[in-house]
Amino acid sequence: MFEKLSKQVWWKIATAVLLFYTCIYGFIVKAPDLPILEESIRNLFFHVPMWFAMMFLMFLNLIFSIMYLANGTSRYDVYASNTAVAGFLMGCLGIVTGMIWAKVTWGAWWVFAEVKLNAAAAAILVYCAYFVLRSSFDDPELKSKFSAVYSIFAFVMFMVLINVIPRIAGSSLHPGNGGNPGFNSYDLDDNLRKVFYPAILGWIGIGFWISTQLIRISFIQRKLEDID
Amino acid sequence: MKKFIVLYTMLLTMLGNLSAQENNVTEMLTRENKLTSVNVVLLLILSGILIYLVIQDKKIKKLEDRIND
Amino acid sequence: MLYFLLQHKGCSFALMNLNRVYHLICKEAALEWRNKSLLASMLIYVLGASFIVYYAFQGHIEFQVWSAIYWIIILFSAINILGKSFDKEVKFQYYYIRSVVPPLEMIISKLVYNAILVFIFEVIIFLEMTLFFGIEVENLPVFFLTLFLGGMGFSNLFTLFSTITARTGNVVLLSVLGFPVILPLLLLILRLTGLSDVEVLVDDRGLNIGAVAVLDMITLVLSVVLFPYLWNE
Repeated sequence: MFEKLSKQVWWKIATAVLLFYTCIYGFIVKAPDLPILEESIRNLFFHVPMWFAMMFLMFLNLIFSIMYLANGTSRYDVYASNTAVAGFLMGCLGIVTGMIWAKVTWGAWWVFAEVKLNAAAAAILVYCAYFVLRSSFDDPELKSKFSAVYSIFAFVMFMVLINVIPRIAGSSLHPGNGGNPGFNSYDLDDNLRKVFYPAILGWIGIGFWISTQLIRISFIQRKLEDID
Repeated sequence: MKKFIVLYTMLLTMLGNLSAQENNVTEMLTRENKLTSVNVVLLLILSGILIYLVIQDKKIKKLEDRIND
Repeated sequence: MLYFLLQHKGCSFALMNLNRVYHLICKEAALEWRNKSLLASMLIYVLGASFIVYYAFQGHIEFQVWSAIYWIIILFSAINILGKSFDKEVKFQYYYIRSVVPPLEMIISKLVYNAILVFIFEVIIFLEMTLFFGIEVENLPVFFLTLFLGGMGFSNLFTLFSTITARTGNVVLLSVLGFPVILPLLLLILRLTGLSDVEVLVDDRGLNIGAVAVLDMITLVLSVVLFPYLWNE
């Protein structure tokens, strides 16, 4: 199914359309008049969906890792490792867009008081360790097995870091935490919502697209090296 | 069109016979202008990425066909 | 899903023999006691570390700093203790042990033993650090609960990862893999230690203890389920 999907065109066109829609209409739509945020609220269409895309790709990574452990077929390992690469890329983009937003609204590129920011950096580190683990084995089967086990842990910790720790810590500069204006107040703004949901789909689509390309490239490489 | 309006209002400010409200208009227009320039840059980047991905797709397809033969 | 993964490896909790687990733990303790070099070296390591901190801070620190340093010392000593937990088995009697002991009993005995060992070391470090710095923890029960939960979490994560290092022979890998993954747990524990000093935030404390306990349970279940995949490889 994955193979078939990666060669189909319709969802790629849909992704392109959605992203163009986000980039064009996202700048025309009337932004709610909020202090400090002002026009920078349009970053909502880039920063947040990128994290969603990372979560989606890491979830795929988890699923493929479990499938690898259950089946032992090496193609699932190829899927898992490449979705992790694409997810890592989206996460880095999410951090960069977040930093730009932080500079505009909070006045610094990096803020310690911001729990989510530091948790996100730690999450990126977790997946860095995943790539280090993958590169430190000679035996390919041992490599796939250990990295599959690690990636299950990594996903759990990623979820804890992104979703649990900021809620418990309570003092975050992000909207909706510690007396800052919540996202709900913008979410009620239907104009923003019209762009926000398509943007999520669009960024997930482009992340998925990159991952399918990486997977196809590594299958070509494997074929050239006569592994399959 | 927009640029002309901006230039025009700027000229008026320079001449110094603008009320406070018109000053506000200038601010808004420059703000709008900034937004459009960011928008254009983003659109360029986005179309670059998409074109790159499409070309890459074609290349991969060609390689796959060659290998499967 | 997890149950499926377990069944897939032919392991089931019904087959577990608690008596054998107990004997495995005893064997582990006896081996450790017979060859005291590891214990002694760890003791010296811990003593030296807290002494260095004592000198570096010239005897006075705030509770916040104290708890941070305390947990960092624990983290490093736990990595040193737990990183070697599968060395013996893999080096000398890998095939023998694998044929005699089912993986489920192996990992559970190791987890229990390591949790106890880490807890003992935590208490030792705590005694030293309070002796040196004269720190008074206001709420001792909560503090010891934190110690217990923290030690359990450390042992769950590092025991599983020590199989990876034992199989690859790459010692650095444990800290590379372990630090990012232990971070959420460590953050929660640090917060909880801070809270055990303040009487006001009782609601917060319950939430924190719950979060640490849930995280411990998740890591425990994952270690037990995933261990057979690493062991039978």
